[in-house]
Amino acid sequence: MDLSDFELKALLRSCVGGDADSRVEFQNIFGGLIYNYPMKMFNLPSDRTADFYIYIFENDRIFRRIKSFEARNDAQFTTYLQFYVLRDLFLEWRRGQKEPDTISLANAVSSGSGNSSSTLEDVLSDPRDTIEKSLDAESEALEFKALFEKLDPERKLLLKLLHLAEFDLSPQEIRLLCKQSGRSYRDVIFDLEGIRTRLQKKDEQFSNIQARLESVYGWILLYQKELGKISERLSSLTEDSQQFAEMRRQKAELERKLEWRYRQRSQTLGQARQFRVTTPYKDIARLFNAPIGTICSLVARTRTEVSTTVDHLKDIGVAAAT
Amino acid sequence: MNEISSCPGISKLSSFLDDELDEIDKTAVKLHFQSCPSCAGQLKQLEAAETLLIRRLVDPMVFNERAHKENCLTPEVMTSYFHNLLSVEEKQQAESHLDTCDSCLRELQSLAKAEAQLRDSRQEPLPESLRRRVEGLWAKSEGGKEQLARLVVRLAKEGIEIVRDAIFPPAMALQEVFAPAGAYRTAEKSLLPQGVLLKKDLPGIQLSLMLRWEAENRAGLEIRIEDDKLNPVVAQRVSLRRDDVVVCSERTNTDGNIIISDLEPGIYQLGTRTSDKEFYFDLEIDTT
Repeated sequence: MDLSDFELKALLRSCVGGDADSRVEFQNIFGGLIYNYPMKMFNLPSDRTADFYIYIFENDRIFRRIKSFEARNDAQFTTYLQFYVLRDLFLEWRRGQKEPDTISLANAVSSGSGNSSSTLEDVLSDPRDTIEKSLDAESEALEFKALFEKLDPERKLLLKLLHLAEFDLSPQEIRLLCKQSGRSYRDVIFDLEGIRTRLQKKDEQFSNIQARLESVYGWILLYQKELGKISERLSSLTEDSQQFAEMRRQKAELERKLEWRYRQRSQTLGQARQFRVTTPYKDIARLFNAPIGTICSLVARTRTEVSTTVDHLKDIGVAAAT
Repeated sequence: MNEISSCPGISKLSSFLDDELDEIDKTAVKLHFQSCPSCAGQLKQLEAAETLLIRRLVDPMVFNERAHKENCLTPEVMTSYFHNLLSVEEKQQAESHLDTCDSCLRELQSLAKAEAQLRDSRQEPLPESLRRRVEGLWAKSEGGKEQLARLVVRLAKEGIEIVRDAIFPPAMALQEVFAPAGAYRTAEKSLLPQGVLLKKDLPGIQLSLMLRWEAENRAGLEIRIEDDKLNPVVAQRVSLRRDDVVVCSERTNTDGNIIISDLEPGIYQLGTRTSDKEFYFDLEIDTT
């Protein structure tokens, strides 16, 4: 894209005003990005992608959404377009579909080893079949979580940074990192995502699993947003109305799908954790604004502490199964 | 390459685990493991404990629909902050908010994640049939068109000659332009003007169009657009079609001008859009 800030504003203004030539130009510039968005974010097949593409341009939907946006430059507008406009329109489009999730759930799911004969529904078996197993695993996870919580916040953060490809940092951890390094939220978050992207590219199989994880992440965010909207609408309706009952049904359905997605994420994360992809110390040192030597010693001390505590857990039988 | 005679220590073992040692140290540690089962065991133990913890940990990311509060960062501010486009003061305000608002900080994380995901993935080209289908939507929704004038000119050896003109109301100025100015007063009878100037007031803008003689078979166009206070209108799109094919579609520069040169003889349509309506001139350039 080689539009100046002024040209971008003028282009958007003319598009909103209905100028056909400007809209053609808008499509030339942003069409590819818009077309690719649902495929990359939600793994949507190409025929549905084309339907979505038409949908957003029909009735000037996309131009009505950008009407009030004050673009400062093309990169900022592109982010706004993808993260707010297209996400919201995708949500709206899905809501209008008769069977919104049939395709995504029936999609072939790669096992990570190249076989892709199973579907998402096959992978996500009925939770009732494995409920006892899940409870055991859950209680064990709680013990480990408690162990993790006992670690010093800085060491906890270090451990997560070491395994950044598999973990997101909590807002508190981001704040701690900003405080430690004296850098802005923007710079730290930007750096974290850059490192994560590089880590994901280290191994092709790992990279495929990560791509799947990101697609699931997109769906979860979308469902959360939709749930929020339904809850908002429910609170404004009277309980005996027909619309209330319909909303309740939609909410329950959405919660079920969300549960599927959480379990898909958990399973995919499990696959991702089979790989040993750790963050280079130089990247961690930059994030902490500390010398590499300090990071090296800190990692070693944290590992020793973890090892000692895990041994203790094993002694008391928590990790016996492992 | 020598085997390490003494045990490498926890720090070196840990660095070995993360592939942080240089090749010489790495080989030395590997050799040491062959003769020291204790160190090899310690390494396995460190790795196993960490893997156990990491695999058992539930990803702590909580997905929350953003709880919009009145002072939460708007999409404009959020995206501007992300792209480092805020003023120092605006940036300070945004960061003070992020100090306390988990919801906005998570939104910023999600935004960065989505951005990285979309930036790094391979782009499929937009199918041509889809592009044309969408363009068809706009052709139908296009507003009305209004013809302003029809002008037929002939390019002579030196100069331009108006053959026919039809100018539609409301009034529009049409004048012949001689170069140098005043030449018409002293020149010989056969001297032709070097240009034809048309001016027209459209809703919100004033459009001036100068058709210039460039050579025997070539003409040029100078377009100028001003607002009702005669300030230049920047980035107003003007398109020039020949036989329904767009030969030029440009925006006015910072002086409100567009210059098109080297126009061959032919039938052209020059248009611009204002107040949701397209206005156009028909222009025929002939040499016969």
